Amino acid sequence: MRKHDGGRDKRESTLLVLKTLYRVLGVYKKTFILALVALGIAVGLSTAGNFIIRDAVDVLIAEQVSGITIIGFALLFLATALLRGLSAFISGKCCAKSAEKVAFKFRNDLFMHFQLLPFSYHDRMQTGELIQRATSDVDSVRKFYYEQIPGVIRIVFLFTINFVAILFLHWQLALGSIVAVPFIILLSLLFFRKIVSGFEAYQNQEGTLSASIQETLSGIRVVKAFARQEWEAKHFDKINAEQCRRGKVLVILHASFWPLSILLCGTQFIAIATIGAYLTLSGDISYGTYIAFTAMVASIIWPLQELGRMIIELSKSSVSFFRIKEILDVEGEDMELGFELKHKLKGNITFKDVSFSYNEGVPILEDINLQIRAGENIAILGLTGSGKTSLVNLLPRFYDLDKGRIYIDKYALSSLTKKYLRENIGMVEQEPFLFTATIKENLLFGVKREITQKEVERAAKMACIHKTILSFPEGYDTLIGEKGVSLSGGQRQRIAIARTILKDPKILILDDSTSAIDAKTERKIQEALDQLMRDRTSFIIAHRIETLMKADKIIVMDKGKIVETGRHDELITRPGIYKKIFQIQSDFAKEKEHEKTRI
Amino acid sequence: MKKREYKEEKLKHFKARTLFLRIIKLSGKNWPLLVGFLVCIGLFSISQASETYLLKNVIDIGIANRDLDAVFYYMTLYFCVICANAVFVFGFIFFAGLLGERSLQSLRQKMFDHIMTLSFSYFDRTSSGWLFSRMTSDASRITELLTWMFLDGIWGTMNVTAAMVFMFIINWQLALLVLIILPILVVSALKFKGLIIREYRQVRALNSQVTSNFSETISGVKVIKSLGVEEKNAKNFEGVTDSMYKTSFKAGFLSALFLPAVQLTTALGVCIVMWAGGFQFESGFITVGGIKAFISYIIFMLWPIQDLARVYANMQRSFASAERVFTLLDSRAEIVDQKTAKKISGIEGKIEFKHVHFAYRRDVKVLKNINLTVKPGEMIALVGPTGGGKTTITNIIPRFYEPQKGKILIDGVDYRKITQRSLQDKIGIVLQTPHLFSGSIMENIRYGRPDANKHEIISASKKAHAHDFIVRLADKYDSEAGEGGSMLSVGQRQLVSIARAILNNPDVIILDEATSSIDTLTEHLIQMGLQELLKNRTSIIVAHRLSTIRNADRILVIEDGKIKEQGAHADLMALKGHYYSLYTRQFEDELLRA
Repeated sequence: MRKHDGGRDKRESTLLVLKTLYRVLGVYKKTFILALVALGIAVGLSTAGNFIIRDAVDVLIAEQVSGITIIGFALLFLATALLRGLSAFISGKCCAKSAEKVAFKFRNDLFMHFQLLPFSYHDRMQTGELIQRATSDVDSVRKFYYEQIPGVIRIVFLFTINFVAILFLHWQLALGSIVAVPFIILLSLLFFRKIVSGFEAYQNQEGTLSASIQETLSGIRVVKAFARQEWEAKHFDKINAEQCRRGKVLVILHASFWPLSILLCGTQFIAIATIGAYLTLSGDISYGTYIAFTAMVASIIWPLQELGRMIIELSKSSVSFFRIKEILDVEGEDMELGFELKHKLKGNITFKDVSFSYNEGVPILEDINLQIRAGENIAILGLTGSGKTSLVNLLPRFYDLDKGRIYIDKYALSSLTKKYLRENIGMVEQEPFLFTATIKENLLFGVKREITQKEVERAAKMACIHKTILSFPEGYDTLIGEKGVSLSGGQRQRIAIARTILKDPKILILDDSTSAIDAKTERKIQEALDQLMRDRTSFIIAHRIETLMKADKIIVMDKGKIVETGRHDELITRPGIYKKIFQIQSDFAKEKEHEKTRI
Repeated sequence: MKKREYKEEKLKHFKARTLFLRIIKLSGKNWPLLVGFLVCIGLFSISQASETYLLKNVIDIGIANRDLDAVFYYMTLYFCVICANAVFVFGFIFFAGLLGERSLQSLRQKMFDHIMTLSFSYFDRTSSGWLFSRMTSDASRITELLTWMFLDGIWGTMNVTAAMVFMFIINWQLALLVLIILPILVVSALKFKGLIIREYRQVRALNSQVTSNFSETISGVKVIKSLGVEEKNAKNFEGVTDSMYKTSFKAGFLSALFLPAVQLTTALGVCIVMWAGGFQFESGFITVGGIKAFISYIIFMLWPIQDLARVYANMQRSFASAERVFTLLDSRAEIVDQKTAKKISGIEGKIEFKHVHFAYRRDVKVLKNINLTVKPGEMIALVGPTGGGKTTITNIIPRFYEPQKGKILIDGVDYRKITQRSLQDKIGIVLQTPHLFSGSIMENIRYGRPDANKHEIISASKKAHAHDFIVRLADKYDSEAGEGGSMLSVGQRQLVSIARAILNNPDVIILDEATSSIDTLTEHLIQMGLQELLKNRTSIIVAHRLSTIRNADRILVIEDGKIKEQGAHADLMALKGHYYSLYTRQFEDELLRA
């Protein structure tokens, strides 16, 4: 995985980040700008309110009071308050709109992109990691537009507008009000940087702790069986204590920052308020000015405490943004690249010197050569990790070859579009994946033509699953998955087989697809499968010799190579893996037969 | 074994007061921290409120009277208050933070230790996910209540009270006026915030729907690709994200409306103050500083009030968490060691069942009057239909469950007179689907005996016939097993678990044979490993394989909670009874598969 480089060209990259994040807004740029402008207006109006109070006070002091003037001031103040409320509302609404739209778009883009990412990428990335990027990272970016940018901009507005206003009142006083400002900002930045790294350490430990709890709980029977309760408790103790220690570090950081910051801001305020009082007494500024001044100084100084936190959070959100972008930048599969034939494939397949590896230097398939005629049944046998599944995964182009060529009906595999290819290839896996949807929807997934209920039922009958489906309360409309009925491994496999029957592909791949079905049902399904395999090129991966022996060609694989090829009766005459497995299995069967007859 | 059905643990209902007291008790020996932070936060609210009062005096006494000394005097006082503020802030953050971390640690420890003592029957009823949430999110929510929510509550109350007191000091007539606005403000803030909270709750629900959609698509990507349903799937998803957008926007819209609404109400209050004050000012009733102080106090009170709804909603959630956690802590282990129980250092291997009756639930009897004597070194195979009671027998021997009637003797001693730990340590159990822990293979095997050295581990793994596959892995014995053993195949997991049991070197072996299909050669290795494990030990096996049954010294046919037949294979076949029909039925399958 490409590591994100944070250190270099920081200033330049900050600008670039801002630019990119601005571009991400797309058509909502105007909405977002409007939000910020409205925010500025709201801040400006609250400063204006202070000026109204100033004038009111000065008028009152001058004792030219009439009820009408007072009511006039009151109405004016109320009007600014109303406008201020309105701007704040507009700002909040527009922020919400643009932020939520950005999140909406990212979620949809990521979802589609996950489906298009090549397998080589999915193999490398953990599901949890991808989900985290699609959920919590997207949420961080949403907060960036919803809270963080408006938060920082608000502080900036508060500072500049009020500062300019004080400048206008009394410029020396204004300059004196911001003496401590650089220190406040510095302190805030320094502390929050520490707090962020402390918090990350705390979160990491929390992750370790959760994982440890999860493991102990799911393995609780093993813990009890080995009587290792005390050992586990000690182990947990250690992790738990470390968590507490890291928490304390955070507590101490917070407990030192806030008092310091209060002292700093408070001293600045008191100092300038005292000087202001002195100036008022010496007649340099009016009574009303003093009152407005103290209010405005307060809104310059106190919000700055938070600036450090906001800036740090901003930078964290931009990391989230890049984590999302990193995924979106990975090129997805182009389903349409290449050409399609008007008709279905025939199913002649040629492997020519094919080599393949997931990681460089660890070959999974080496020099595979195979000639398969349309309609042939190919059985593949081999130990776990010998390359059986990798071999068949090459056909729908889930992976690209390192070396060699594969041809289907004389066309190079890579010249056909993936879409066309996958429409023509059907796969049934050992642990088939079903969607959280009704059984019928699952059966019809991937079928592009119109299909009647009758056809659906016929396919289900062929796969020996029709009766089971009818036994569910809602028949074909029964929901499967977490919220619906849970199916056994065998039932899932049979539904996957029915799904493939409906898809009606020209090339069929059965990857250990009957392993969870009991022998009696398998024999019944076998008839369906035999029928399904007729007129189709098919590949069967299985452990049981009985399943394999009728194939037109049996391929035995070992360590990425084809070590034996031939028909059942040919292979059992030659010494090799096939013969060995056949013997173990048939000895066992014979022994049993023998016992039975003996009694 | 049958699939477990979990029911949500039946929650005890606590009275709010009991719950509250128990939460406070969680602070345990850290109670000074609790007192400390409560005092600090209380004092902080008062000193914070006095800032405004002092500033008023600067204006009214100092500036209005043109008294510079008074200005300095009150400013100095103000500075002292700021210093006090700093101290109080330090105090409440430090005390509350420390209290939070420590109580979280001790609460989790308590729960973990408690879970370790619970009996198997508890885990039959309770899913590990349920327990997991109790230890993680619920535990932290309770400590949050104990610290930050208490803090918010007390700060808010003290804040409003102190502000009101100072307002009464300044001008009681005006203060009365504010007191009239206050309830309106509180009620409308609560109502409005309630609406927002409801929207956000919906957003959370939609968010988990989005998450599960993502997870389904990522784990099902192979099927999606091979069926070519990318577009269709994305369109479905857009429906979910669209409603998520709409709900979030609504929540955002309401939030945007909330603050201005509260502020406008305040502005109205300020206007009333100005209007009333202005007229009073005429008659010398209130000062300029007084008006300014009133404005500040009203704004000052706003924060806790607008926060009220959030704190209240969180508190309710925490109380619900506390109810769940206390229910867990109050559950009692069903099997407890007697005070006089003795530790044993080894088992010779004689196991006797005397008139044993057992039921998981009162109404369904699983074992009915079982009488059985297993001789030291004997190998017993249990066969019979699913649900007949085979697994129950294997669970009763290590005392994971206790018989309701009857006795079990180990080497002639009633096993209730032996400590559970020492008994279980001497009985080795190999389960059908072995569970491994994340960590290296080495660590997993070592689990059988934590003080074993590398040599002993490798020799155990050689005996289990696991060595060959382990050394072929990229990192050999340091290869990661993955959570639950997910990085290894089922067959490999079984080999490792056999090695673990061999290292454990128990005196009695209980084995639940695997039924899942494994490739022929690995299956062969497992059989050889098991033979090594069973050598010279008393063993009780739930048998699914023909070869195992044939090797057994004695076969017990368990059906309907009773021992229907027993004896050697040939004898039982000759009987042509239960065993015979079972044998011909069940093993026909195996015959066909082979």
